[in-house]
Amino acid sequence: YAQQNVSNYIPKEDIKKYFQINNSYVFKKLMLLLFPFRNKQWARLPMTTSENKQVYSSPIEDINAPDLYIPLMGFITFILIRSIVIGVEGEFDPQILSLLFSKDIAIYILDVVILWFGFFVFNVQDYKYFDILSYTGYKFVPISVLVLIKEILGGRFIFYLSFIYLLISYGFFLIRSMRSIV
Amino acid sequence: MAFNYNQQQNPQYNTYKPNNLEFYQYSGQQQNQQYAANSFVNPGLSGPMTNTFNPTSATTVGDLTGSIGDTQLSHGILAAFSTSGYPGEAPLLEELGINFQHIKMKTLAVLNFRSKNLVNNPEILGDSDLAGPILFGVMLGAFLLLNGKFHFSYIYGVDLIGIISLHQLFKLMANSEVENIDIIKTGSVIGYCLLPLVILSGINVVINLNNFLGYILTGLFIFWCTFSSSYFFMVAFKLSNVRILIAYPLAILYSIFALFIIF
Repeated sequence: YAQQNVSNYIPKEDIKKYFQINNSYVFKKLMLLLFPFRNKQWARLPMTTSENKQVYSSPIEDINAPDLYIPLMGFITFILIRSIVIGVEGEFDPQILSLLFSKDIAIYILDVVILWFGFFVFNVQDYKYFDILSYTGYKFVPISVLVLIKEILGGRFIFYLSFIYLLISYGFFLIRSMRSIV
Repeated sequence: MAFNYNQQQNPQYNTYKPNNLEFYQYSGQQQNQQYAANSFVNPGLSGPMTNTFNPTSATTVGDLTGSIGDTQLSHGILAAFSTSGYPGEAPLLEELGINFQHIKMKTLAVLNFRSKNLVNNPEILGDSDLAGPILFGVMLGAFLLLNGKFHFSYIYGVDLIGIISLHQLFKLMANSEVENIDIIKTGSVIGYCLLPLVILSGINVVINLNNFLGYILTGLFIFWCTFSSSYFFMVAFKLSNVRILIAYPLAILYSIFALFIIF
């Protein structure tokens, strides 16, 4: 009984294909996140197999494929940069790491839940669970860049300028990427 | 103590023998062994346990009385304080699996960047041994203690969580031709490459590193750690073209340790 009910909640897709990446994919994707305006083609490439099902390519071949490595690393980098900033100011305590971690996990989960609820309201059928995790996780990259800029460059004007720019570029990236889903 | 108990109880049980206790006759080795398991409080009910109770007969009952029986251990008070055990027993370090030659070779490989020894002998790399990493972890904690920070549990916790999550990540990132990577091997590699951070915490004892020059030095040491550990992982996992991707989570893990050291 428990077995069936628990396995209803475990996602059934193969998570490994979100981690099949290499150096150049990560580099290009980061450039895409920070400057998405030059890119012309946003559709995901289907895999060239002879099956009937629509299967998309892995991230090695296709730059538009979502992956889970960048969100994970972005998340941890965000926590780390904030800890370094706190440490430079002189108030570091190892418990801050776990505090930041739980706070950020809560925000991340909230974001995923809001997006999932939006999908439910607009009756979108054909999405994958890990795709949502991936696309909402990309936000940590601009946020980390923002924290770095605020810490290193330090002025308010530069901070607001870069904030608005990164907001626009991230929004553009998300809209174009998820067009095929919604 | 069991002997006295038996001798005391014996006179009583000799006179009192109810009929239903005839069932517990000595009738076979297995029953007697099982009986010997809970036997020392039931004296006098089966054959060898009656008035003639003495140590040598106890050894014929079963294997349990090996500690009381004196067949293989040496006698005398000098032998009681020495380290000789049963004959044919392996030496202690070999039983524990700690091999000093391997530890020294792996440590030198981390320190020198020259890991030709390791690549030529793959069984050293595959010798999943956690003694070196635990030693380095304790040394790190000791140097931190010299600095006035008592962070042993944080080191251990961060290390453990880092090893588990990094192992899962590398398993996900590895392609399917590689054989199964053990979590102990990941932990071993990560722990050995902690050595430059131990050196950094040793430096931190004499020079305070909480200034700009210290940050640069820390960055160099973190780079050293990730360089050697990503090299080991590249060799072990046979991944190609993902060196920076492997190095980045490792750099994060070592940066968390460096945070403990500096701040």
